[in-house]
Order: sequence, then C-alpha cells, then structure tokens
Amino acid sequence: MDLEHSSISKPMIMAFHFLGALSHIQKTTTHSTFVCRCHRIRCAAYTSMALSTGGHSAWSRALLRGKLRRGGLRKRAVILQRPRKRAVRLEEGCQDGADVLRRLVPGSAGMDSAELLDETADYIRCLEEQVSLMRSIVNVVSSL
Amino acid sequence: MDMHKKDHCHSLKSEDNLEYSNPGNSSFLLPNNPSIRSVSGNSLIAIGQANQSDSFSSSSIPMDDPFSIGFWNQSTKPTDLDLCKNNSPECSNPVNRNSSLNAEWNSSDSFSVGGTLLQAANLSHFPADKAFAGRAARLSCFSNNSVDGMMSPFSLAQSTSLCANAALGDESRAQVEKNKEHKNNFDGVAVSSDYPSSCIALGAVKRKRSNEDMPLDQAQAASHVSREMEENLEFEQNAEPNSPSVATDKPKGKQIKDSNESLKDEFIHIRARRGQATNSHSLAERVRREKINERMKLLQDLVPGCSKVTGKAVMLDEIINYVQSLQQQVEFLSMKLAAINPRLGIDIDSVLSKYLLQSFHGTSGAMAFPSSSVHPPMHTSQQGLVQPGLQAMANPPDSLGRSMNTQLAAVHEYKESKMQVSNSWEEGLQGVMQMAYSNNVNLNAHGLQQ
Repeated sequence: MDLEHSSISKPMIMAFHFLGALSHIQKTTTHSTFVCRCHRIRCAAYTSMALSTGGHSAWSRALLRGKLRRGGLRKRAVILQRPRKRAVRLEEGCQDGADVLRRLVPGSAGMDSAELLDETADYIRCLEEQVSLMRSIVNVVSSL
Repeated sequence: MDMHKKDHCHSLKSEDNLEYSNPGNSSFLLPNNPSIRSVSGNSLIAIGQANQSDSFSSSSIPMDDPFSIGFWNQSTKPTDLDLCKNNSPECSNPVNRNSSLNAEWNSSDSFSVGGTLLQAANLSHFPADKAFAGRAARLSCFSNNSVDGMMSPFSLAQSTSLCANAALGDESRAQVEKNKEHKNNFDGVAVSSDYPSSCIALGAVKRKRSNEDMPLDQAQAASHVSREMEENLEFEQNAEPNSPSVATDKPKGKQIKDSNESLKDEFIHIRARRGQATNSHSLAERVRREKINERMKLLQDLVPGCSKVTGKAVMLDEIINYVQSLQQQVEFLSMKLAAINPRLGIDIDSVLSKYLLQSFHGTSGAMAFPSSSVHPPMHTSQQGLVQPGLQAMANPPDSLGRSMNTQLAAVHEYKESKMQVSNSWEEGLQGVMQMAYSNNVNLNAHGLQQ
C-alpha cells in the first residue's frame, strides 16, 4: 500500500467536505430560496471547517455539537458535550473584558483568558483557510 | 568555658581560634547596620565568647564557633552582654556597641532565612544566613584599628567566609581602606573555601553592602539584607558582581523583586517590595499574565497588521475585528456561491474534481480521485454508504488513488472515533458519493486527463 503521503493536509479535508456539501446542497435545493441556500452553504462551510480540525479545539466541537443537535441526534450531541467541571472556573477567569471575543468564537464561553486566546488563534487559522478555499472555489466556478 | 572565653579575649592568636575555621556552618550572623561595622573585632569576639557557653550548651551546631553563636545569642539574650562585661573586662569596649548590635540583631530576628545554622539551636528565629557569615567576616575586617592585631588571627580562624568576604572587596563600603588592608592579609587565605555558601555570602554581601549604603533604618536594612540573602541563596548564579556602589537599588530592585516574589512562599517573613503583594496569589497572577502575554504574541503574528500594536486592549480589539471580518467574508462568499450555483448546476461536480485534483497535484501528484466512480453506486443506508464506499475506494489499482482513499478512510475513522459525527460526515460524503457514482464518465475523463 502506498502510504508515502500518509497525512492529508487539513485544507484538503476541508475542501473535500465543503465541496461535497456544496454539491449536495446544489442538488437538493434547486427550488429553495436564495437566502435558504446561502444559509446552508454557510453551515456547510463551518461544518467543514470544524471537521478539518479533527476535534482538537473546543470551538470545532461546539460547532459540530450544534449541527448534531439540529440534526436531531441527541445521543451524539451528549457525547460531544464538554465536561461540566469547566464551569467552575467560569467566574475567575472570565473577567478579562474579552466577552465580545467569547461571543465570536463558538464554544468559548466557559474558558479563561489563556484558553480563549488559544481557541481564537486556532479559529482564526481555520477561518482563513476556509475563506481561501471558498474564494478559490468561487474563482474556479466563475471562470467556467 | 571561661578559660576559652578569656583566651579569645586576650589573644586571638591562640590556637583555639583555629577552631573557628568551620567551613560549613560557620556563618556568622552579622548585623548589617553600618554602625555595627564600627564595632571592633574585639567586641565581636567578646560577645561571641560571652555567649559561647549558652550557645554551645543549647545549640546542636557541630561547629565550635563561639563567634557566630555568640552573635545569634546576642539578639536573644541581651543579658549576655553583662556576661561579657563581667567575664572579660578587656572586652569592655564592645559593651557600648553591643547595644547597637542588639538592636540590629533584634530587628533581624524577623528574618527567616533557611540555613543550616538555623537548625543550630534555639536560634531558629535568628536568620542564620551565610551571608551573615560573610558579613561577620567583613565586620571583623572592618573592625577598626585596635583590632588589627586581632584581626589576622581572627580572620584565619574564620577562614572561609571571612576571607571570602574580604577578598570580595568592598568598594562601596565606607571603610574600604580597612578592607583593603585586611584584604592583603586575607587574600592568601581567602577563597579556598570549600564552603559553597561563602560564594553566596560573597554575592550576598556585595548586595547587602549596596543596600546598606542606602539611607535605611536598621529594620529596613535588615529586611533588605534578608531579602538579598534569600535571593542569593536561591539564585547563586545570579550573584552578579554588582558594583556594590549602587546608588540606587533599582536594577537590583527588580531582580530582588522577582526573586522575592518567587521566594515569598518559602520565607514568610520577607517584607514585600514596593507595590508587590506578598502572597502566592500574586505569583499565580504573574504566571497567568505571562501565559496570556505569550498567546497575545502568537495572535499578533496571526492577525495581519498588528505587529506594532502594544497593549492588550488594543490587541484584543484588533483580534475581534479580524475575526468578525473573517466571518463576514465567509458569509459573503457563501452568498456568492449560492448565487453561482443555480447557474452552473451540474458542473459543480467538475468543479469538485478539478479543485481536488489541483490540490492533490500539490501534495501527491496526479491523483485519480474519481477512482471511486468505478464502483457500483451504493444506495444503502447512510451509515452503510460511507464505509463500503470508502473501502471500495481503497481497492482501486491506482496506488496513489489507493493511498488517498486509505488516507481518507483513515481520516474518516479517526474522525468518527474522535467526534462521532459520522452523520455530518455522511452528509458531506453522500453528496460526493452520489456525485461520483452518478457521473462516472465525467469523473473518469477528468481523472484520466489530469
């Protein structure tokens, strides 16, 4: 078995997911409104972003948890739940004035500032990749 | 005992003095009060001797150095002065200075410097710092004129610390001349201390000297000394030979501050530096702040245009703005995609294959992604769809495709085990599968072309 490239890069996974989702959406929503389609594509973007991370970051887990709940899979959502012991630290570490950031980064509500900054860095990296992916897709599609 | 005392008093040249050369624990606690420096060696010795009996009887120190013990006792038993007076009339000189010594030592009682000497007895409250030993040595050096005769044997007796201190020199000291005089005497003997703490003492002494030069009252001086001693004990390597003639202890202050803070947990009796809290909370705070600063720096690299920004608040604003802008871009692009899609329709598959092939070009050469297309379409349940599809993907003869499929399968399994979100995977994959299965020809063509 040829495993010379044994590690697929994260953008690859992201592209795989996103394009798949895109095609799926495109196939199933021919009669939906533009806004609805927009929303679904955006969801697909965030999902592919979260999946490409591999579950390392809390924001990806939170994102996927949200998707799962919407998908009606309560069981899976429970598995993905963050341990509640974190909530104890809520009071101490969260007084940094970074609540705006907490609102922006999904799943970062119960973190102290250090973890929040870690999550933010990871989130920013993934967001950048997703944006570049989507831009390239738009370029490819519009050039067709 | 008395005889011993008197011997010390009368002639320091007695061999008994050699007993002083106790390397390890012969740390002499010397008050850092400048006034004490003027105390003659006579007085010191006398005091030591005076208290010797008490100290020796009670102390468990193996060393037989009356000098240090005497000093320690001095703070606790001021009555010993009388003893001294009585026992050695020739040592009457120090009586006057003993009071000052007492005051000094009493103030220094608050020090709690860990040291072997501390264990030495009922002197637990007395900071048996090795730096003190150095001090004692130096003190004897400084001890004035009349002491000269006594100094040399005395210094010999207190070989290590004394000589080390003397050798260190004492530029900032007011009595530099005296030091130099004694230095010459001691240099030969100096430094050959197998006494590791003497090094600390040296460093400590230097710093203490500079501290002493400050116009501090005794208590403050004592506290400074204790802090420095502790600092020196902890940070031997940091004993930079600061020119003791430091007019301001600012550069030192920071050092001391840092070391003080780290030492706070161990030494309870330190007086806090200005503006620093003396509890472990502040230490935890500092650690936390350092962590946050580290991460801020990482974020600074991530966010474009933030290299010049300083300060957490501004940086935070920048980060928030950047995250918001990225999210807006995602929305905008998704709108664009949504707008484009109905126009292109079926062509999204070609887009997919094109894009993936282009990307795979970069990573692993031409990949035949559509190898999955060779397999018969699977219309089983969602769960079933994924895995057979992946396994099927693993079969194709194309080695590159196989590796990619294997990797994808691995990724898939990894994801499942990690997050158990197979449904979302399936959702994404389903589209891919259907697309792949339903457009065999298309994909094959694309794959072969690329």
